[in-house]
Amino acid sequence: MDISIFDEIQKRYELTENLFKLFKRDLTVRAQFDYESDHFSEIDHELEAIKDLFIIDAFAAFERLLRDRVLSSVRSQEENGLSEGLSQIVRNESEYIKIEYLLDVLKKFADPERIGLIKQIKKYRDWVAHGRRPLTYSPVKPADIYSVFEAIRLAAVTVVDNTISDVKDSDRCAE
Amino acid sequence: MSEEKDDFNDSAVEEYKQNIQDLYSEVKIWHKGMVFREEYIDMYEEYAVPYKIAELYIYKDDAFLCKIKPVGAHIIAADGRADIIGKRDKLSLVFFKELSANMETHDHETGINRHALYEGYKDAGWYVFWGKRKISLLSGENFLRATEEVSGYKHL
Repeated sequence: MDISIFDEIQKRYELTENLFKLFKRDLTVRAQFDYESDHFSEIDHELEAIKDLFIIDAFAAFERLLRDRVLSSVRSQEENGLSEGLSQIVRNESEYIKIEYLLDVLKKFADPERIGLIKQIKKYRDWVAHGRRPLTYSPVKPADIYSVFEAIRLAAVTVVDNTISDVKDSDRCAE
Repeated sequence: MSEEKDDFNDSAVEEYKQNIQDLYSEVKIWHKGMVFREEYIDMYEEYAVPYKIAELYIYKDDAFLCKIKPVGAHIIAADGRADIIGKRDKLSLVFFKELSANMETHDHETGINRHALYEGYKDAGWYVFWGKRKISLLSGENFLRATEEVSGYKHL
């Protein structure tokens, strides 16, 4: 997986949004689905729920990128048999490391304010993924889904950019 | 907008309530001659004690045009949000404080610093979202456009 995944997710969302717009504008399409309400803001309400699914998707891609980065960091430290054995344990457990710990590390390499946004998005993602618990107050909500996509993409750039510099560093060591 | 918002922060709610009232005052000037009705709703946000805030219903003669519905004071990458909802569509209005330097990116082509997440940020205030990160500082002209879009009425 590389950073282009975020363009793909956004493209899928745009297609969905456009289909919703088409549904609202085209009477013949609505007739085919026996949609009778003339309150099209109800359709927007449905789209809000779908937006949440795309936020889950985008955040999952970011998390995969970050955890893969942990694995590549561990591999780069495998200098001998003992290191390899210890690294194997970290590799096995890497999926269980709290993402907040990984985000705290990222803060040293990216703007802390931008990583703070990712933490807020993560909390929102958790709330959605755990059934939007109706008896709890909703967490901080997104201003707009495209800005959520962009905030995640910017943080992902930090992960990928530092992968490139690490590779260059290890190349230099090898020389 | 900048901090992680791990604390209850009622000052954010107080600012938001004031910003909403300021917005409604401007809307009443921009849509002079229309009929307005405010209806209080309960707001529940994780980082605030429950509070009441008014929705603003807007009518042209007897016909419902749209309403402005507050969404919350605590918003990811903004400092408050309200939605403008009509029968046809919905648009988001967001409030931004002064742009934090951390949220700027430098455009090498133009030499101008711009917001990292939004296109069209100028200064603190209410903005309308047109989609795909495009925003405009709210004015009488583009609030009228937003009202027409969400209500389906033309030439208000």
